[in-house]
Amino acid sequence: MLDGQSWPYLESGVWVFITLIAYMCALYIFRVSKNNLMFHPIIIAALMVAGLCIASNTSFADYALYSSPMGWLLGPITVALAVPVYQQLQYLIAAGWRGFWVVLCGGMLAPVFTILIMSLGEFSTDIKLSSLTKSITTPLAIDTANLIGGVPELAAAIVIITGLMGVLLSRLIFKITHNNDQRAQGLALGTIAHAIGTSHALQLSQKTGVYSSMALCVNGLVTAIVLPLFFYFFGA
Amino acid sequence: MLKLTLSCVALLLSWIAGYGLSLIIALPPALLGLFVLFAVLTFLGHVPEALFDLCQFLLRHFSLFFIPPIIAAWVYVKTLQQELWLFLLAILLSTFLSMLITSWLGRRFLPEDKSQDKANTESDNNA
Repeated sequence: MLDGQSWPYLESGVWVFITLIAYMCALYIFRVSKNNLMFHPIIIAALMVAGLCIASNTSFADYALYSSPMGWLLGPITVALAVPVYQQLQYLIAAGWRGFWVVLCGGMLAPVFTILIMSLGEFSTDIKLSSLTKSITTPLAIDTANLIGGVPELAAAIVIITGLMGVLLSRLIFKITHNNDQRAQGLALGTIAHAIGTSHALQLSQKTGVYSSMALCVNGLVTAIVLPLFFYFFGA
Repeated sequence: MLKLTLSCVALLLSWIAGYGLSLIIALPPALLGLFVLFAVLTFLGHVPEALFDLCQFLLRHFSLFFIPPIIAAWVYVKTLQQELWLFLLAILLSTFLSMLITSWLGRRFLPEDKSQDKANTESDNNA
């Protein structure tokens, strides 16, 4: 840790570089595995970096500090989401109010179910708060969790676990609900499994991908607006 | 190159504007920045090509920036100890239930698809 020392430029540069290389290797492995979800770039790259941390005797907390310059870029990059949101507007209009309500219901149910199940155990408040943003895209989840008093890092991990689980469960769920409508499949994937669900939806079909992307935008925006305002006014 | 630089500046300025707004409105700065850029795009009436290419590239490789938070999250996950299984079960069950209901609601309530382009579940599942 820093303790008043100057910023560790060398360590920081080295670990950012290692993260970049690990990500590029993970992308290659994902492509070679024919986009098998078990080899998702985030999982593989995180395992590689974690392995290197252990091998070099660097604690995970130190790694988080060294790699923090990457976090500074997250804000401006999140702003880039404005482009897909702008482009999805016509699909939101096509899906109408009904599509909007479907996304809204799904987006509301996800955190409600999590809190209900978590109330069975003795979880600390910050863990519960961090799980409220589980179905929205990671950059918005990090910011929102921060505002409502959750742990941004934990929120990011929960979002990614949710995305992976959502995609793995989607085939079974579409079978149970006899859902063979590309638009409805896209809405479910985008609402619950956010960006990871959307990249899977794009593999299914263009239309599924478009609706998933629209649901991801709507749920992300609504949750990121409603949650902080709710906590601001009700101080929960 | 100039257009690319301008696109980067546009993103950065939108974020700074969002950050400024977040001092007045209790919303995430990045979300407010997103609204600023959205308003600019609505005003322009289209997405400039260089900005589109830049945003597509950044969003495609978004995952890179989530590697540090994932590693940092492990520090918190370790503190869960015997509650870890319930924690994972809560995420699994809530994901399953909420997606099941969203899928059902979507199939049941979406307006008729005018293009009549239904999915072929068999071939989709192989994708």
